[in-house]
Amino acid sequence: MQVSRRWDAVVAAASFAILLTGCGGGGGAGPGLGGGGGGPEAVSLAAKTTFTADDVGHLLNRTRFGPAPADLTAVQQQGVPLFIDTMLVLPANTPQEAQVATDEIEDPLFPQEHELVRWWLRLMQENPNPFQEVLALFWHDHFATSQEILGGDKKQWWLAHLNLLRHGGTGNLRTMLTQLATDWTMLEWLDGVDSTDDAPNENFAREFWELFTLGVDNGYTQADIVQAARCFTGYRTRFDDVTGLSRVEFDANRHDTGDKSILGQTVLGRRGVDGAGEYTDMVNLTLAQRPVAEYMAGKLFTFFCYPNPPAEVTDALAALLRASNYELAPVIATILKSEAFYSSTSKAGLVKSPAEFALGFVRATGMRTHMDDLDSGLSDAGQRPTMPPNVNGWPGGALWLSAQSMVERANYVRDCLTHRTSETQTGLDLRTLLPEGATSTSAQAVDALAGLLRVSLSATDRTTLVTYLDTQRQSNGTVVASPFDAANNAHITERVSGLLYVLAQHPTYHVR
Amino acid sequence: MCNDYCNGRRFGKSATRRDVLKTTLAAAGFAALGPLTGRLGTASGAVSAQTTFTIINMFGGNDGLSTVVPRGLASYHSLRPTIAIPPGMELSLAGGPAGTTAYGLNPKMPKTQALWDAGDAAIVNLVGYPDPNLSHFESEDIWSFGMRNGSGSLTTAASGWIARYADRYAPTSLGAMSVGIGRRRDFVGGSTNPLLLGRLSEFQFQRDGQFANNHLHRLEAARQMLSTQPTTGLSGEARAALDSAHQLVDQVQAAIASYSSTVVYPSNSLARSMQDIARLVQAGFPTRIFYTGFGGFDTHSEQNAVDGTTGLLTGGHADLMQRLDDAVGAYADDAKAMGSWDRTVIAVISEFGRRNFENGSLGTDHGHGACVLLMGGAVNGGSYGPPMTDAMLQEDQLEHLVDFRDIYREILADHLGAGSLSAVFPEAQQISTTLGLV
Repeated sequence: MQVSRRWDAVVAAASFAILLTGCGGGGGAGPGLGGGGGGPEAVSLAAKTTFTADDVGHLLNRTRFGPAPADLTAVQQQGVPLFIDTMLVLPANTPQEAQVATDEIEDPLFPQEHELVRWWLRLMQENPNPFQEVLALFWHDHFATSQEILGGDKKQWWLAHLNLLRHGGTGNLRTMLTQLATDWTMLEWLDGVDSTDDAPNENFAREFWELFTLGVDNGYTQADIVQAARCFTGYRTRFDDVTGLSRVEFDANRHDTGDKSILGQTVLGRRGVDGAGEYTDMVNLTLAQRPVAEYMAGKLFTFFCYPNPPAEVTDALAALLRASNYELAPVIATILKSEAFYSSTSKAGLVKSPAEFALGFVRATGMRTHMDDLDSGLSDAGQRPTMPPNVNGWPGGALWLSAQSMVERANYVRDCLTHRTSETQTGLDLRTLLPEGATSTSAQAVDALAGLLRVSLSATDRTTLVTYLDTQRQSNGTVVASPFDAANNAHITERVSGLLYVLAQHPTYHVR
Repeated sequence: MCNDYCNGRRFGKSATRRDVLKTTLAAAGFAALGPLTGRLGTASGAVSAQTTFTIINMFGGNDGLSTVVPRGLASYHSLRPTIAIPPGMELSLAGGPAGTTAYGLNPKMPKTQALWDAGDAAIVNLVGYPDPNLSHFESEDIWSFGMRNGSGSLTTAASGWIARYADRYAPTSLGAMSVGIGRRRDFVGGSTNPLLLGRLSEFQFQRDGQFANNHLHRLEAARQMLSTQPTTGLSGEARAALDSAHQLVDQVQAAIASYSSTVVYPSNSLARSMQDIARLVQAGFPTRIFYTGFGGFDTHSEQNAVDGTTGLLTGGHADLMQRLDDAVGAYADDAKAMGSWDRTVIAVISEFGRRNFENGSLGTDHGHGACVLLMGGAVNGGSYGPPMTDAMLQEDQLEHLVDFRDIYREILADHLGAGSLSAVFPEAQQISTTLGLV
């Protein structure tokens, strides 16, 4: 099938540099950009040139489950732009990745449900480039599938599915869409393995446009879905008696070889093994004919910056995505380096998801938690990775804020503090988090740990917390003075741990 | 498969279907939209004076024909040569103000029989919804959403029926509650943010075992810190959620501490949930709808048999009936003791019934219509719905002649006193019946 190069041609004709500076960069809002809300910097995609400590904290908060002390050092050494470029390189098949799989999955041919969860949670906790997991979680939410659909002899398919998202997260969107269209987990999840020429299943065709590439009712009709479903026919599952495992393969006899009329274009039917090529044709047709770039630009910008971005922003990012032939890294880099990303509108906050909350806590403190705690904590809070509620992913944003989930978050922190371990299983010494070790004062402890968690304390808050460290509650309920002594192990175990517990209930700690 | 039902989780392939998708933007019944303060609800401390509606869901598809036995129909015995409840073993429903000889109860349900005799139990046969779906997930979703025609009408519904009820008639976190089974789709959507609990005892800020005083101390510090936080912006919303968390934990733990009862509940999961509900009612929680359930009803094999030695009914389904009977019996005793029984309606439901004929594994496969049981002092005891006939049994499946939403509708209106229910059950029904259940 011929794919139109119309969009690429348009973009190629435009100077990329002009495109971006035309977006309100350089301090002066361009024509038509003033109404975007939040001031000109909120809509400017021009690269920011100087970065405050707050900017750096903001960047780390949004891109790696929150700042860890080592991250701050890395940014200082590399500078923000290079730090961003570096983290966008997502390694595949690292020794660590393999080791974690070996540690967490007993039989890689028949992984268990909880093993697949814990494999990823370990990577979230320990990947030296946590952005790889942050971004994979974004894609997992966008292309939401659940391992729940995979029975025992199919569970291993999930490893390939997740790695597709983990390794390809900053790669090429066209490639990712094409791979996902024939990914075994996706084919099982959206009924692709049951879609035949006799009975094309519309499930994948509909979600491909509605959720994955365009948005609901955005430029396609039910008639298009019916026709597109005919392209997506032919794959089936087969159980292999020898291996005892199921696999997915293309069966030309189940593929609809007729011509299809989709989005006003004709897709010529393909025959034989070539029929599988229609999955790629559909991806190419959709990218060529419809505003996929705008849709994805909006999603990425919303994830990193703030919701409901103005059209100027998404249009410029979409043009960049097309100009780079759907390479994602340039778009993500542009967002993360932009004035808009560091604007007050962006810093006004996004609600932390349970995963961002939980992983942020362990990464900031340097804890190595039991996977039991992390798994059950996220399950209780309603965000067990690999198991979103449905194809639409997790309902996010302010929907994460409920009384119940706040209790669950506090209990997760409690579990971490009570069960804390280190890589050597000797226990995280909370004293090492204090600036002056055993000679730290209560005020120094409060400031250091609030800074570590990036919690904004008012003067009143600070007094409350310093008083907490300098007092003791007795069994009869009275609270008596008991000056904090960082050399006293009991003070570290009870009070510093308690201070982290209280800080994790600060409202600003639930916002990133 | 059973585990999915037992723990009340709702994931899976069905979740990818069209009718589910539309709901998810507003999904998560545990969500907070807007300020929580003032929408929490407060326990009165005295036994609730309000009427309550408790739903017990038998996850997996209950075999209605083994629950309420059509004792006089020849086909019942011929189609189920090995698993039918033997003639004479079923418990008689001939007693009480609305006695009937057409049906009998599962022999494991003597306490339910006693409620029947007192006019406090009802059976509704042939309950379901149009165009039945044999998938557990799809069928459960239809019951949860209170909607049959997903893709068309769910755009406006986009929520579970309890969420829609709570928004209109019980708009606090305590207005409707799930107990013992966690999250359910009945509660998703809407803006009321109902409390969805596991065990009551677990809904608390877990203490640090070794440092009890310090745990209380740090909680006090957290509360003091929260009390001075701004109430505006996104962190203001986070503060509201945190404030609510502390208040709700206090109320639930106070309910546990103040509960007093001489009733001994059996030790099964449903009984534990029912006792938790009793605790909340006794503590005066302003909750109108409680939702609980238990699993194991997907009885494809070995569901019923008569023990050759004892002559008693055994098998997986028989055990489940006994657990149900024991749990409801204990709750009834407790509610009577605290004086709330006359304000109680319990509905026992399932996502579908099972085939009329037994399969080759001494079990039954997924079916359509089935019975719903009602218990409570506010129930008009008796048998409802069209009479079951031999001809109906000769079909593979029982058809639905009563729409489940009519049962819910009557209880919400006539028992809970709800006004218009057009927004709670907005969909036009093929069959609409006035039953007079309460």
